[in-house]
Amino acid sequence: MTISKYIKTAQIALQTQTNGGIVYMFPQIITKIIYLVPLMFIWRIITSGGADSGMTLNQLLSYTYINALLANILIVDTFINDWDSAGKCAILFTRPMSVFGQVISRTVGEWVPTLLMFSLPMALIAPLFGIGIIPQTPWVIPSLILCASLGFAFEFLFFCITLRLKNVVWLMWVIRSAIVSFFSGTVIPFKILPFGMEKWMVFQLFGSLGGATLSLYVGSAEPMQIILAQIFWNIIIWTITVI
Amino acid sequence: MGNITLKRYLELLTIYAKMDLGALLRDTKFMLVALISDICADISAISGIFLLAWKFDGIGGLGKYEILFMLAYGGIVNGTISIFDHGNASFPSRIIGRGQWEHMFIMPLPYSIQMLAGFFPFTCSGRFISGVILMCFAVPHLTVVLPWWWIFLLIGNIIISMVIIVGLSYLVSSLTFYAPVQCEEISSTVYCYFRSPYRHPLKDGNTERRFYFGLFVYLTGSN
Repeated sequence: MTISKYIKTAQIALQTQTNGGIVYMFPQIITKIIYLVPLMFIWRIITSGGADSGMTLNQLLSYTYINALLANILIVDTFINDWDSAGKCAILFTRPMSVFGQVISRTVGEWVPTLLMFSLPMALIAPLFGIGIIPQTPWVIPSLILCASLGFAFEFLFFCITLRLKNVVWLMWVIRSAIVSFFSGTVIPFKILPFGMEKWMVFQLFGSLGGATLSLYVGSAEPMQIILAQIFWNIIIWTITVI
Repeated sequence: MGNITLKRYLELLTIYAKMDLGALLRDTKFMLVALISDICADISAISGIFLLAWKFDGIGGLGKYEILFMLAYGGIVNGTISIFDHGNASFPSRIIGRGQWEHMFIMPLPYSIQMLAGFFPFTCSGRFISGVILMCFAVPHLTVVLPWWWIFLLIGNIIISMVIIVGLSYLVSSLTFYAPVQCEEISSTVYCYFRSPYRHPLKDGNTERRFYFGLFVYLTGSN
C-alpha cells in the first residue's frame, strides 16, 4: 500500500514526459547525440596520433558512449531546482508522502522514457559502431546504484543550501553544474588527466559520481577502491543532508 | 515606427549600461557572485579539452596554445552575445512563446532597435572577460606571426560568428508563431547545439571528417 503511492508517482512522471507525444522528446535526444559525437571524434584523433593516453580507444569510446546512455542516472538532476525557482516546493510538504520518496520516485519515472527511447536503441546499435557495451565487471551494478544514491543526496543538499541562501537558485545551479561536470569525470576520464590529477580525483567528493561507475564499466579502475569510496561519500553526504 | 539616428542608438546603449551599473551597485555582492559563477562555469566547461591538449601537447594538428586560442575565441563570441542579450534578445522564441512579442508593438522604437539596444557590460561580461584573459594568454605563444591588422580580422570574425549563431536562433524562433508553448525554448536549444562543438578541435587530416563537421566548425568559428 505504501509503496504503491511511489509507484503511482513514478508512473505519472513517466506519462508527463510523453503527454504531448514522443516527438517532443526528439530535441533532448538530438542534444545528447550532438554532445556525444564530437567527443568520440576527439578520442579517435588522440589515439590515432599514437599518443599513450592510459586507456585504449575502445575504452574511451565505451566510456563516452555509456555516459551518454546513462547520463540521467550518472549525474542526477531532479525537478526540485525548477520547482525551487518557481516557488512550488511547498507542494512537496503537503502530500502524504516523504519528500525524499516522492522526489526519487518522480525522478526515476522521468528517467524511463529516455532510457527506453534513447538508451536502449543506442545500446542495441552500439556494436555497429564497434563500441563495446558489456561491462568489464559485475561491480558496475552496485556502483551505479551508489552513484545514483549519491546524486540524489547532492540534489537534496544543494536544495537545502539554496533554501538557506534564498534568491540564488540559478546561480547555485550554474556553479554546481560547472563543478560537477568537470570533477565527476563523466566527460573526461580521470585516467587521462595530466599533472598526476588522476591519483586524487578518484577519491574526491564528486569523483564518486558518474566517473567512478564509468571507470568500472570500461575496466580502468579497481572495483574495491571505487566501491569503498562511493560508500564512504554516500554515508557522509546523506548524513549531512538528513541533518 | 520610424528610424532612429546613430546618436539616439548610442544614447539607448548608455541608458542600459547605466541601469546595469545601478543593478551592480545596488546589490554588489549578488552581482559579483553572478559574475564569478559565469567565469567559473566557462572555465570549467573548457578545462577538460584544455587539460587534454596540455597532456598530449595539442590535439588533431592544433598545438596546445592554438586550442587555448580556439576556446578563448568561442568564449568571446558567447560572452559578447550575453552582453547584448537583454530580455532574451538572442532567444526570441522565449519572447514570442510568452506573449511578450506583442508588448513590443506599443513601444515607440523599431523592433530591431528594441532587440539591439540591450547592453549589459557590467553584470553579463563574465564569459567575455574569461575569453579575453585566455586569449591574451594564448596569442603571445602562437607560432604564427600575426600582422598588425590581425586584430581587425579577429573582430570581424567574432561579429560574423555572432551573426550566424543569433541568425539561426531567430530562424528557428519563427516556428514559435505556430506553436508558442512547444517552441518556447527552441532557440536556446539550438544555441546550446553550438556551444558544445566549439570546444572540440575537429581539425585533422581526415578529409571526410572535416567535410562532415566543416559546417559545425565554421558556424562556431572555431576554425
